[in-house]
Amino acid sequence: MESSEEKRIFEKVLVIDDSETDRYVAKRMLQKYNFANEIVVQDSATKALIYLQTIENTPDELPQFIFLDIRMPEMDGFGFLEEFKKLSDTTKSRCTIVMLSTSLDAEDFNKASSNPFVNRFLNKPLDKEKMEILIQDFQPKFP
Amino acid sequence: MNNPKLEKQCTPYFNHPNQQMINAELLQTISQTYDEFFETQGRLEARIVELEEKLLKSNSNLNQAATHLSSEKENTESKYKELFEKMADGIYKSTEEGKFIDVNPGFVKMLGYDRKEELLAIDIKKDLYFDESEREVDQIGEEGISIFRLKRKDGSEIWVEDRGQYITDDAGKILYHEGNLRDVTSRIRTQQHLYKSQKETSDYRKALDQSLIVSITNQDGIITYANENLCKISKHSKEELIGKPHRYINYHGENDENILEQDETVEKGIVWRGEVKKKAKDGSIYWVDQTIIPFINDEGEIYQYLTIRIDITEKKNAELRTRESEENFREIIQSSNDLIQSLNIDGSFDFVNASWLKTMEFTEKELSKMKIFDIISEDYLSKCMATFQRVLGGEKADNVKTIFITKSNKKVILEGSAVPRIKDNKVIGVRTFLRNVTEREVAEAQTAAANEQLEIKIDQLRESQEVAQLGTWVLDFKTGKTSHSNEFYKILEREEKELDIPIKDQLLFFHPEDRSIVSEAFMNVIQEQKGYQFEARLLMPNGKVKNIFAIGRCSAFENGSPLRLLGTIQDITDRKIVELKLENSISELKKTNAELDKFVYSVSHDLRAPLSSMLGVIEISEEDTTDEMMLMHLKMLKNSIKKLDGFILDILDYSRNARLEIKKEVIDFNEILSDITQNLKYMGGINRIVDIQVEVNEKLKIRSDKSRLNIILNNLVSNAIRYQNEQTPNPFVNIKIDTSDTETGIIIKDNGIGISAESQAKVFEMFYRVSEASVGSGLGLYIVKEAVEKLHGEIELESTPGTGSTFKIRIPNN
Repeated sequence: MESSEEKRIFEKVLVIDDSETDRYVAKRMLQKYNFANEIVVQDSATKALIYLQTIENTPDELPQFIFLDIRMPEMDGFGFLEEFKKLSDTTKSRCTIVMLSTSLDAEDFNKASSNPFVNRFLNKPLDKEKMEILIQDFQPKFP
Repeated sequence: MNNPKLEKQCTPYFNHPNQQMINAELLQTISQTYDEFFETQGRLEARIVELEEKLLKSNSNLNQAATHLSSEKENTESKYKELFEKMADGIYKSTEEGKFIDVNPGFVKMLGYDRKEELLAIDIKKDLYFDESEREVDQIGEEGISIFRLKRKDGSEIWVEDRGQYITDDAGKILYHEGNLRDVTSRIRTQQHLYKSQKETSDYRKALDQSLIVSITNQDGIITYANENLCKISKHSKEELIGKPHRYINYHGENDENILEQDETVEKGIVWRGEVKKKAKDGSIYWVDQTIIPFINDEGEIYQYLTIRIDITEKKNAELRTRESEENFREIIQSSNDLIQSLNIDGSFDFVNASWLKTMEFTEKELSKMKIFDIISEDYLSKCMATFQRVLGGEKADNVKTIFITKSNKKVILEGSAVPRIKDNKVIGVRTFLRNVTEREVAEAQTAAANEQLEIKIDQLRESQEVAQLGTWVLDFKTGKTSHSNEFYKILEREEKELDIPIKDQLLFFHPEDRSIVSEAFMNVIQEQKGYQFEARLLMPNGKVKNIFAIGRCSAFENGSPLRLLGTIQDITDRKIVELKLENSISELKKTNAELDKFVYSVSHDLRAPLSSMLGVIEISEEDTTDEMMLMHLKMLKNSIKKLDGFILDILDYSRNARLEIKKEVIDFNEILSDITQNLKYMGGINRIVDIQVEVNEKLKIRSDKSRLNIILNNLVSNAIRYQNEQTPNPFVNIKIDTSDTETGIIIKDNGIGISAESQAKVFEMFYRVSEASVGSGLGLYIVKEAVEKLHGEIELESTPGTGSTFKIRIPNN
């Protein structure tokens, strides 16, 4: 594992999930697969939005990748996407969003797939197989 | 009228109101007058010629004499004297004061005096003129010729031609007047007579012309004279008529024979008189009483015809009308369908019409021996005899009703009237006019029966309309009027008279929001001439709203256009309320269903979320340890969690299948199978890769419920993988899909452990698990069967334990 430490894919990744266990699992898996140098976790969509707004003027500090849960109290994943739409173009173009959920509702799936900011829809948990696919898809193509 | 005498004689006669009725006498007079006139005229003309010849002769004598006189240079006194003495003409010499100086014997004789001395003694002015004013005085120095009259000694009149002049001396003083006179009395008389005759003739002609239509044709029948009246009646101008043959104004075709006879008669020199039909220029017909008088000259030859006509068109038309109406009357009687009979006083038949004979079947010969009482039905006989007697008494009998018995013994029911026949103030019999009402009576009886039936039917219809709350109405396209059934008024809660308004005003009975629907439907009917069908709301007078269902169609087509529009309206208010309730329930149910669906998802999510968290932790733990024991425990944990998760997923599938409606979309089986195989590739359990063989033959793309097909295929393929035979070296599952025009066939075949015959019947049951080794929930195949049945398909299972299983599914396309 340590051997790949210098080959991290993203500078910063943001995980938004209300479940502490899930945040922990996600963080551990991302660290383990060297997905990013810095993993920021937020336990609610509202907090995540405030976080993004505070760093919006310094684009280098923006996360390149966001894992977004759907079912959350107060503001759910789709509510976050509505607010995300209002952020600056730089922010929107810089952040790739992946929905991470336990939902099997076709409606959720379709809604997520049709959202222009959502890259894909993944079922929890974030396991070995899924991580491998993500790395394969997002690893820079240079040696 | 220049001749007052003639005027007095003729005017009253011609102006007499009955002048049209000119009699033969007048015609006679006129023709006689004409005869005389022409005779006189002929004679006078001959006389004039004679006299003029004589005059010419004497003139030439005179001229000869004068020539002789002048040719002789020696104008001896003796010769002059001789001439003076012997001249038949009178020669005179007179003073200016009016005394004769000298006259010759011819002059004396001419004026009827005996001796020359007598004349020399008279005062010329007084004694020689009837009136001094008649005296003409010559101008001095000029020789004048004048004709005037003088008074002879016996007072008689003599007309003379005077050639005289004043003789003057060299100084211009008048010495005397000299001249000669010639007796021109007979010439003047003749002229005067002629003038008078001419005047009289023209007066006659004028008189004739004013009252009669007159034309004269020459011996060849060419019109030489036509008077104004002829022009007026024939509508031809004088110019058009003169020079044309007299037949020109005839009406050809109808009275040619008459004309031929007329021509023959007059050509013999006989006067012809008759009534002739003529045709005017404009084609109008007129009738004249025409008299043609041939004029015969001394040699006995006809030289012209005088035709005198009287306009009798009015009279003729009246005659024709009378004749026509008489003929019509006769025809009416004969052709009348009524039975008309004329009876004598004893009841025998004087006359019966054709209809009578036809109806009663008797011949006229048979009838001649019969009496009216022979044919009257016994029931009516006494009554009819009484009527007969009453009419013979001079009364008229209306409303006669009787029954006659025909020759073939048939009854004829008759109705009519009887009137007395009167001749010379005496009743000579009875005339009856009877109408055959036999058929009517029969028809009336039939109609009454039919009406009764109809009324029953109408009652039934009314009743059924009441029951169905169905009102009918009819629109007559010609009149624009509408008529309605009772139930119609009832539905509208309005009186009959309230609906007696134009159709466009009836639109106001509808709810304002629905008026456009109604008027559109009607416009459509008028354009397409077919029909309409709509639901709309009606406003009741009390403000209540009723729902009605209306149907109408055009009917009774004439030349392709409908005469009527027949329509019904049905009160569907109650039904509408139920419908509305039902609709509300359905939408309520739909809402509930959607909420339930949401709930199932939420529950499944909330159940699965901790499971996935647990799986996530196990995943990390597996990465973090190399302890074999630990790894085995983690794996056991993981399997239990996955089983629980699968169970939740099965319940979700079951719930969705049971509740959700079929949602059809175009199906791509390759895509569905590719998703399934992708998900099942790393399915846990036995760590062997199963060869998934896919064979899709889509003859056509079918439309079906994707989520249910997914459930079916996912369950069957995952079962095939889960229950693979560990003894078999090459585990496989073969998926074969064929679509046809009518159905879709799915065959899923594996070489797995198979199912025992005993279990085969139960595998589709809920919560049935073949063995304790079964890892599933016991819901999978049950859900498959339920989903297949939802799609109206069927599923079969063929299986041999140890060899494998084959599931065969057939789903119809519709």
